Amino acid sequence: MLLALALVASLAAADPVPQQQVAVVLVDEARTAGLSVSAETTWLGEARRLSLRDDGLPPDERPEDGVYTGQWTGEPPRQLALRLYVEAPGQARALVAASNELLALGEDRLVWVLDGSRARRTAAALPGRTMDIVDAAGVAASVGWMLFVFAVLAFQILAHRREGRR
Amino acid sequence: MSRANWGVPLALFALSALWTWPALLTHGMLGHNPDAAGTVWFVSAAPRLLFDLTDPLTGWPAGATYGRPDSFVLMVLGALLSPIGAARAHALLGLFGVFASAMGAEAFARALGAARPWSALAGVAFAMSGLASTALLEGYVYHVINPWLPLLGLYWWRATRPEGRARDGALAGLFFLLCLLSTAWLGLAAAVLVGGLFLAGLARGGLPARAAGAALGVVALPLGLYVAAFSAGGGDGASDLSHAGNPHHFFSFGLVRLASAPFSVDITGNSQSAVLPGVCLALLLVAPVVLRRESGWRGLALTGAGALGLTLLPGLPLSISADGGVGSVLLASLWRFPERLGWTFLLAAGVVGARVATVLSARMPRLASFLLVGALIDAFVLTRMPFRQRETLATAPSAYGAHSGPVLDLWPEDIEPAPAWTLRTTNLGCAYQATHGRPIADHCVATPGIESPRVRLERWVLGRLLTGDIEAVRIGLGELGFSTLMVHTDLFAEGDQARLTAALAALDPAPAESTDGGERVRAYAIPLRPKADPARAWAQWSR
Repeated sequence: MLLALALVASLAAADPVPQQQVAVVLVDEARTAGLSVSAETTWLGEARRLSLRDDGLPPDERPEDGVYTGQWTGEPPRQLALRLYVEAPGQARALVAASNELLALGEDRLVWVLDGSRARRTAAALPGRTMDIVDAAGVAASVGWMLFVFAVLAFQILAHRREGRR
Repeated sequence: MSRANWGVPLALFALSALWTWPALLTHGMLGHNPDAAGTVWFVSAAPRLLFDLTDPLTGWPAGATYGRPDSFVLMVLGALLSPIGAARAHALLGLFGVFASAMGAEAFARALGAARPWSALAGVAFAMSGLASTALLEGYVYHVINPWLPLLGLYWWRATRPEGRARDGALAGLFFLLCLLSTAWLGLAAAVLVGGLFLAGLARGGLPARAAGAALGVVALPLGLYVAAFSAGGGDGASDLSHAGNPHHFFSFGLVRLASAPFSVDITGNSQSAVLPGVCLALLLVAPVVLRRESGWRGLALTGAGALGLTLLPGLPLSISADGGVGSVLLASLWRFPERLGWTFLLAAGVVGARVATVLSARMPRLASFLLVGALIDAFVLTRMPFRQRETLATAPSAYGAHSGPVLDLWPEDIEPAPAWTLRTTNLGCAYQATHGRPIADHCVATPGIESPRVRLERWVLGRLLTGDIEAVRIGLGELGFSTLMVHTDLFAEGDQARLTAALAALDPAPAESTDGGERVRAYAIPLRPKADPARAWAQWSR
């Protein structure tokens, strides 16, 4: 009965076609002054260009923190062939990343970290070293959790046995 | 059934629905990696593959023989669920698979002496684990439809005890086969479980002959047929597994994969995580103290420990030997993804852990309650499910409906070559077929060493188009029986788009175009060649 109810709920669910939002983010750890960042793609047949800004105005969160953000919206594409360019003062516009990105339906956030003349994809808008530390901290926390559970169990069991002997 | 008896199943169902969210209500395709699309195709093709592993609708014009399908069990379930659509069936199988696996492990725990609600620990540890999250995110939903391993454990554990009956052995044999037919990986995990409990039974003074004989009787013939079919079907027998279109990673297993999934794992690590459940690991470690005077758990605990040891085998890229023998395939598989043997560890840790928690609950109820909460932290915080799950569009571009007959998909080479690009385009083209139903050139199950006909034809067509030789394309594709050239224009570089569009105007000046289904595609009609013999033309191509 439970399974039948779940199946009915699933079949009765509405099928919304959401608007797609794609945030494109580039982290420049060096906080290069006067850096110009842009992204290009073809969105359902339409060539689109996006300027990524670091001025604290939405969708950017904080001004001049080295995190450049821009956002596209529209009917949902499945994937985007995306090219990311930077232009530093006195230098030519340079392609730093080009990739085909599969998109999560509804909202997605694609983040790169500038690493020399290339940008690499990362999970969050954090400088490379910080991202490594966050990843390592998550791993360490889970190991800590396992040790904590074991310690609680062992301590409680030993305490209980000691009480039992008394 | 009393309220107490309903409580645990209801709770496990609610947890399964939450853990696999949005599987219950989604209309999209779930999975973080391209293989999810491949599995959706497999579900859609199940009704026609069920009775004949040769599929005329893929690998056009020769058709494709899938002698080593990913999962026979998924084939049956896919055929049963075909009326609700492949993407929906794929999502719901994830939810019901996790629930069924949890219930199976919970039943094993109760058989071993755990009481409700503590038996639920086994279900959560087994079915909502790091391995299960990897399977769901990678799109291998058939790995989580796994009540079979717990039920194998339950009946084989009974069969190897002095009071073991023939019925227990026969049921154990049946569930072993269901593991194997779900995926060969589960077959390997099941073999470890069977071997461990078998040795434990021998150490206790021998197995009941009637139970062991019944198990062997059930397993022998189907297993022999399976091995023979596996040896005969698929693969050219000479290629490295890593040349199957997968990223050329060395999937060596590091201890770090036993900890919580790092945030970057879904960007750079194929979503692979085998995080251990902290609560059941701790309960397994204290079992010798808590269950000192009790019987029936040691063999299972040692089997789990042995399985964990096997998962720590270092991975190496091995080649399938020239004869493509089953042994070499199994070895290569085992060494590439040793963590998948961890299913046996999860089951043993969960079941023994539930029994320990039951004993502790009588003496220290507050501690036992802490363990239940801790198990939820293991399931939801350590795996970060369902937050890592991704939903993508499940529909296909409507331009596929503009013509009938075989279609050749034309994708670009990746603008920044990614090893999995061919896999992604193949799986996506196959998932589209779940909707449009027309014959396509792709092989939809990656076979080591065999290049998809679509990729060969695509390179040839692109070369001709970019040099302006449209007539060769018209004649070549017409002879092969294709009626449509479907160009996935969005993904081509702008310069290539313009050159292709100009060249293809000579093939079909008014192509059908659509921008729904997640991309703009153009369907160019290829004139029918009345005397075309596609099979013969392809044979000439293949020379």
